[in-house]
Amino acid sequence: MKASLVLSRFGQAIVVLIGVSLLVFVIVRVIPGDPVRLMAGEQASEERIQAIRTNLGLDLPLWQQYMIYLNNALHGDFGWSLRYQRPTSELIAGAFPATAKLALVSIGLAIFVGIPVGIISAVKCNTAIDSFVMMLMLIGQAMPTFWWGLVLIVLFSVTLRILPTSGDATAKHFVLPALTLATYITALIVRLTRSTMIEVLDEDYVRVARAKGLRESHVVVGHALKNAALPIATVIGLQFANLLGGAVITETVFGWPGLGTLAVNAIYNRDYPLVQAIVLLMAVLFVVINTVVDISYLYLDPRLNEK
Amino acid sequence: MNRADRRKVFGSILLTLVLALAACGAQPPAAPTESVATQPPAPAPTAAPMEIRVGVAADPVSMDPRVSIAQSGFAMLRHAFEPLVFRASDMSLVPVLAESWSRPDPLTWQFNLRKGVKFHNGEDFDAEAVKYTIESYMNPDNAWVNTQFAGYISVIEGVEVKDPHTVLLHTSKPSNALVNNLALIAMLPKEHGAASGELFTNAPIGTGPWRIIEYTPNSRMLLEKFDGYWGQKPKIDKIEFRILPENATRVAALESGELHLINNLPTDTLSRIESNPDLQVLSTSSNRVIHVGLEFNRPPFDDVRVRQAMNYATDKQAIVEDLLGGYPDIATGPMHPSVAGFPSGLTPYDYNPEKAKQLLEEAGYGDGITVKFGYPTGRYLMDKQVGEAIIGQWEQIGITIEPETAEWGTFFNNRATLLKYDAWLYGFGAVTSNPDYALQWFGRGRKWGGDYENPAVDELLSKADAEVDQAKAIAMYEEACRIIWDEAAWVFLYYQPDLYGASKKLQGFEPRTDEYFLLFNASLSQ
Repeated sequence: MKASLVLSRFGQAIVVLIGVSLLVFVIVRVIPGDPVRLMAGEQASEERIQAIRTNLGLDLPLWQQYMIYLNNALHGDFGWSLRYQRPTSELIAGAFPATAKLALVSIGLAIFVGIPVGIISAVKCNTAIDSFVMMLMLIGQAMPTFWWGLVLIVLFSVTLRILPTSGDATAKHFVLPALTLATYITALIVRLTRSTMIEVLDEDYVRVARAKGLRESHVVVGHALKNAALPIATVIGLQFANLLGGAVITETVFGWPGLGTLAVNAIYNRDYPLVQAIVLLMAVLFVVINTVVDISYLYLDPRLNEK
Repeated sequence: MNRADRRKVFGSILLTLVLALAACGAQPPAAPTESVATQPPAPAPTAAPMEIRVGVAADPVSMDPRVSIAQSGFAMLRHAFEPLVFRASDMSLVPVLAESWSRPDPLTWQFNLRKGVKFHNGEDFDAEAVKYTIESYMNPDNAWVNTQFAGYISVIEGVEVKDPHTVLLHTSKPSNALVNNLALIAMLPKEHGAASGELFTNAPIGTGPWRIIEYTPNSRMLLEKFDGYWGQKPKIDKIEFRILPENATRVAALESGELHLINNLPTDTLSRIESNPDLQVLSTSSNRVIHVGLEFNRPPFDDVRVRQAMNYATDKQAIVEDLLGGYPDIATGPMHPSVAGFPSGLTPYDYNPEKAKQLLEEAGYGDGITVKFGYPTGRYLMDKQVGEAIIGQWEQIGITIEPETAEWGTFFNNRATLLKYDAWLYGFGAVTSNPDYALQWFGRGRKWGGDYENPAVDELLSKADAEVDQAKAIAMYEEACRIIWDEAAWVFLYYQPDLYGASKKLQGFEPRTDEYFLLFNASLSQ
């Protein structure tokens, strides 16, 4: 069963990745802007512009360009950045660790806070505590990341001067960007955990567990949470994949040298190969994490194993 | 439920995270070249090192001076790389790696090189390095080298090593501009350059007073004082350029005391910085002429009276005062007054809507004209707001505007490739600060279509560049400027201010008209 699931997921992943590669290939070429002009600068002559275009194969028919791109990608060559004049794989490998570290800290923080608070809110449903938590979470979800990031900078960096505004050199540098990213995700997890737990806590088997005289904490964590875990894990997985693709706005606000910043610059400069490579990586991450989440269902819900 | 079950539940919830972690680990490891560490840092001196931190708005893109064409990249790399000649703060040419230069005949420039200069890796700087450098900039096979540089020195036909410290540049035609343009050509070590090729950016080596010890794209560039520097040693031991494109963050980093200097200070923060007792605003009028280009080849802007009308219809003073904090100087000529060949006594185009209407009537457009006007967003200081202000002013004299604003990539494509606009907001800075460069849009640099064209100006500019007698050359540039101005080739607006926010501890830093932020004489007071 597990093997067939993995195989089917693998097959789907191939189709998704080819689709994404084709889509992004077309989209970057449809948006207005000429990468060669931007790369060559305002002073370049028309002859030079044409020579670069020919050299890069950008004057070939689109389908030919796509075939070359696909062929190269299958051989592990994801192209040469027009802007940075370096292999795109090298640039991505340089930016990915910063993004991954920030993503891990942020999602870790969100899980650490979100699940317990969500459980408490569910257990204390319709009390003052629950209302207060829900109000906070609503604010957390509604706040624009850009604004929230700047508020944190003004408070902790400019006014209190206890945390740095930007950069990724030390653990201190992680605090503000991770807090900015974790705020939204925490709110999401709290709300989801709460609603799922409320449903589950109303189930017969929970009442049975209580009737057996088990401690309330045991009932909530051992019985209810286990059954509420499926949707929570799904959302965590998706949010994590999102973060790994580069939190564009947060990275820009905090000068974080990750994939998001790289992607924005690549788009502004119509750096086709780099945009394609980054989007493809994002697609791979989504596919991998979704597959991991799917497989994790087998452990979270043993009934799936039996089918 | 037993303890094992409980563990299973928690373990399951966190499974996603753990497996995703494994996925991260499966990514290719960071290439060692991403953050360059060219040489191990020198041992710490006994006194506390003086370190200055600078926030810059744009990434230099590469540590190879042959790749980076961003203005801020030029400035950052100039701390580690040196050209043969450069410009003093008054824009006069000064020797750097060339001690002197002469022109033995109209088609040859001779450079006498400084002796005892070492590159950061210990290689000697000599005539062979000059030959290698110039040829590597010009070699079309070097696909990674930005072709813009080859354009600056395209008149060079050959580089001759006369002796280890003398080099001759043979040119295809006489050119005064070549020496100024060589200020953009950073000298590179021959052996290391040839060995590293396109990966020079990962191990950048120059002769400058600082050497690059780290560069992380879109994050920071770190430089350390080079003890073997041939010239006057700088006071600053370390420079950190931090790349912060977000204005609010850059300003916050200055206000929090993390940074000592930031460039591209947004005008909406000027009063805040000015009123901060620890900070100061430093500014100069840069040689970037902000203007509105006019489609010269089709009606209505093929008529000089209409072009003049557009100049009279534009209230430059209001734009400067209301949008730009009063910092910019209104343009008094087609280039900046600091550039040689700037003429005196040009009649200003004062704001005069009545005169503008009258000129339009004389040109047969009394019923008004329709203009497709494009302006970029985020390229120049307050460009979107300036574009909007211009629209309002032009509409007052009966001009119908079809406005279009876009981010730079789209705007540039519309202007340069699609020739979509009748009028476009643009800024042009003379990075080499010489008249040939500054006036190129009116002569040899015309390339996209729609730019002003006048055979008399073409001839003056071409002759001026080839003229050996400098006084005669200057007179020709002045004459060209007068024609361009009187014929209202553009709507001349203002010189873009180069605005910096700085800590009051920062001493010895001066903004320059060529927009280079240089820290050679800078220091920090206690």
